[in-house]
Amino acid sequence: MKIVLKDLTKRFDDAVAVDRLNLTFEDGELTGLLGPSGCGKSTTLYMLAGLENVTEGEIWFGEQNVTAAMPEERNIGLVFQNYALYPHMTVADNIAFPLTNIRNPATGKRYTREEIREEVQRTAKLVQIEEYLRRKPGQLSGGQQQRVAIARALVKKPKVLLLDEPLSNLDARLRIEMRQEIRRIQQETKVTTIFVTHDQEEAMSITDRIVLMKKGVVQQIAPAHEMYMNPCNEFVASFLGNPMISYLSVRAGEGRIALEDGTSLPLETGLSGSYRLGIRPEAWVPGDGLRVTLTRVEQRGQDQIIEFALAGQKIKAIADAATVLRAGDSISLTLRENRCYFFDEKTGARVR
Amino acid sequence: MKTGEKKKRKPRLLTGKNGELLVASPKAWLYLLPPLIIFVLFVFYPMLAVLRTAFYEKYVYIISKGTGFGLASFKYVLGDKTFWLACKNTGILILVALPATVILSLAIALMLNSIKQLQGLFQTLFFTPYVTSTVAIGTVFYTLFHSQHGYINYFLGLFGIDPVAWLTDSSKVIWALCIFCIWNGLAFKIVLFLAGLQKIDKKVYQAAKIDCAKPGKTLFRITLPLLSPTFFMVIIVSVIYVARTYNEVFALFTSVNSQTAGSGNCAITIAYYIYYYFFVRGEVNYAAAAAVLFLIVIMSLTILQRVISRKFVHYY
Repeated sequence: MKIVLKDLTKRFDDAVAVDRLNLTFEDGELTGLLGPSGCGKSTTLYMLAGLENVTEGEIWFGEQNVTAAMPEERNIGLVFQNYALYPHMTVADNIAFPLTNIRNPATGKRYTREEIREEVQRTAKLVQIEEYLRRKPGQLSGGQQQRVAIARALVKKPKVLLLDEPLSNLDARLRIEMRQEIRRIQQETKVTTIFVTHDQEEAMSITDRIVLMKKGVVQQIAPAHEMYMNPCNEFVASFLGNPMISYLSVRAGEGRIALEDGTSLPLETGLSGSYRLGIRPEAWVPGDGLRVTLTRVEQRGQDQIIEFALAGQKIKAIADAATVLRAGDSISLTLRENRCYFFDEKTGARVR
Repeated sequence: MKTGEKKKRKPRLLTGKNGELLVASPKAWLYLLPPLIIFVLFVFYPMLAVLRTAFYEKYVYIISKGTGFGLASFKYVLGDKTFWLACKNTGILILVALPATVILSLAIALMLNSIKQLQGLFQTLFFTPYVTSTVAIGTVFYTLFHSQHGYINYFLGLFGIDPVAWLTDSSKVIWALCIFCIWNGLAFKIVLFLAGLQKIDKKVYQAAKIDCAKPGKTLFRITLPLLSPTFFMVIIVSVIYVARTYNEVFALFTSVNSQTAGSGNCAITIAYYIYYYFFVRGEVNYAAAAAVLFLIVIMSLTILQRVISRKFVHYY
């Protein structure tokens, strides 16, 4: 089901949490709502769930305006950050609970005990927790609780699945496993899914599209690859990518790019004036160009992050793992133009 | 060995329950001493003294001298009609007043927990009876229960009910006592229930909303089960509290010239019985025997509750 937000706004007293959001979530897509804490992504999710009132604007589920609808009228599944499982019920009862409250759309009657058992089995199998059905949530690991929470959200076959920072309570390895699980489950069920996260890697790795927000305002909406390759402003460029993009203040003109200390960069642009130049770490490749002295080297196994100073600014780059580099080493680097971005000094908007 | 260097005593090490290392040192007793002294002096010794007193046939309190050792005091108490009346009255309080006060306080706590505005004000209002002296409240209830001028009879009169002699009719006094105990027990239980309710994760209620649960179902399938540890604690505490009812009897029924609980001790409770035999009649050995019997009953009740609660309380 397609979801459309029209000028969606949320104000708490004077603070604007979400500012005139216009968005479309396509049917069957997994969309990531990404942004730093306090950017309004969770508020947006809770408005979609109906747990938070809408100050202004509209929410459309397909052909239906649900702006004022109660959560139970929306047919949504929601996975909470802390899972919010019912601690006194077994896993099976937790998953069955939504079914005991609604009518079976196939028969129009209340679910029979047999139907509930089947649905619980089917959903438990989907999230792979069949062997824990008789346990209480307290007896499960974080990852298993997460699966139960997803099963409970999916058992009533909702039109929308909402996930609020579902991975932030898990340890690093489990997080990678679970995010792939979420993707698998989403693709098997083809349910329209909205996934809130502050982790750019999480958002990039499993979503069809990312909505990047800052202070209640959408910055850019694009698939992960495009958003990374083509950031529309400095904030987007900074938010995506690890290690982070590095910035330099530059003067462009007469066919060259000069740093504050007069050094020339091997870039060709038609620009003239003062800009902020953002350089992705992978833009630097070995070759004739600049000779730099490394100030810091970080080993990552598959590659190494190197750091050096240019015109007093710290620059990060990635070097391959073939030769071990150390701080103090001197190397020659050149720049790949397609990973360099020029931003307006004042507005931060992308210029080139 | 150098001179002046003291030989260091090697500490003795013990392994604790969870595998942690503990140091065994006689110094520990020093730290334990202050509470131990208080415990022995004010709890352990009096308990033993009561037990000893109960087995005398006669005991003079002032000189702490007893004569005749045996079960005579127990025999007397168990044959005393007033004792059985006290048991009956206490039983009624436990079986009628207690469930009523628990259910009422739970209902009030649930309502208080769900209001959004002025919650603090209402919580304070409902808690004030707890910090008010029972005797003062008793005086107010004494006036309310008055058969001619009391508001309660006036109110019943509005529905055409004849005035009830709440405080003097020996068949009605226990109900007056029940009503007073129900009201007087509310405040503390409301606070306990509110604390229990506020401990429940708000997200669980949101999850129930998303899962389309109706308010009634949320109450019975989610709130109450999650409140069951609090519920059990309140029951245990209040059974003991209600069984010890004394202040309420004193405040409502004891007048200056008579030390009995209402005319002919008709509103007597076990605790009042013990008080009555100790201070009014000075028959200390009977009071002690009654206290021992009372202890046995309370202990068995508490053990019974523990056994039953294992089936119904959800600890998680």
